[in-house]
Amino acid sequence: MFARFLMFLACLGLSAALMAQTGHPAKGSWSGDLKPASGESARIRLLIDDQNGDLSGKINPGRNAIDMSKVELDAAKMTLTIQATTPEGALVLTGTLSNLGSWTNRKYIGTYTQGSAKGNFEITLN
Amino acid sequence: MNTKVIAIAALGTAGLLASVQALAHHSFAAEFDADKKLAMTGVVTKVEWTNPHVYFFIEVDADGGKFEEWAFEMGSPNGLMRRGWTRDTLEVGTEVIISGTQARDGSNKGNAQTVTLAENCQRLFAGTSQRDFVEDDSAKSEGCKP
Repeated sequence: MFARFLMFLACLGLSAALMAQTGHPAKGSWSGDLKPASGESARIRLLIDDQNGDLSGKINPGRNAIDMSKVELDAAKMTLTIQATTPEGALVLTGTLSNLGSWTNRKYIGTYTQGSAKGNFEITLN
Repeated sequence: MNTKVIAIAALGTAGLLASVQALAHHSFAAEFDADKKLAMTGVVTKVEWTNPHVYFFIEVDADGGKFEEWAFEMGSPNGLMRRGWTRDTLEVGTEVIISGTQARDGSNKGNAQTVTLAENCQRLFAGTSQRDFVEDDSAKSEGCKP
């Protein structure tokens, strides 16, 4: 009886740790840089939320946040596409999520277009 | 007999996991240097509302486009709530002005004394465990009244 009680307590402790390991791979706060083919890099922050698989988010959350009009993950290729309308023109980010096992160094790397500008981006999960 | 051994081993493992949280509790002086004053402005990128201390992370434009991440420790969730904080007080993307002290090891980590919201200059006590409250001019320099 005592042994069973100990095992119950152990399961409670372990389950608390395991519950913290779930979540959509794109969900969270991301920071990185847009690197245009010519010109200076621009900082970009993303805040992505997941509601039962429906992704939504904001570009540069805060006072001047811009809602993402589309956030779509191709789970087979881990390709994440984000679209938004910014003052500089339509922004489209297309890239791949990598290093998914990491909470501190998960990457979203790809290419983007913003109005007439285009380039690469590298963004890291905060 | 075997069941007992397994149960004790499982309980030991659970205890180890729980001890990670306990280890995070420490005295101010053990980790932070009261003489290393910090005052900086940044954008909140993450908030961890956990025991025994609430942590938040900001991104600071350290050198004209070169961004650094800083982690700041505050008081306990319970202590902050008693001072009027809620989980939504600091949201990702909020611009904040921090005053506090830096970690002894010189890393990008600090103990926040006050957090001022740049949007409305609201100054919040961060529930630090530092004994002596140090007045600072960081918020004033950003256009906020003391």
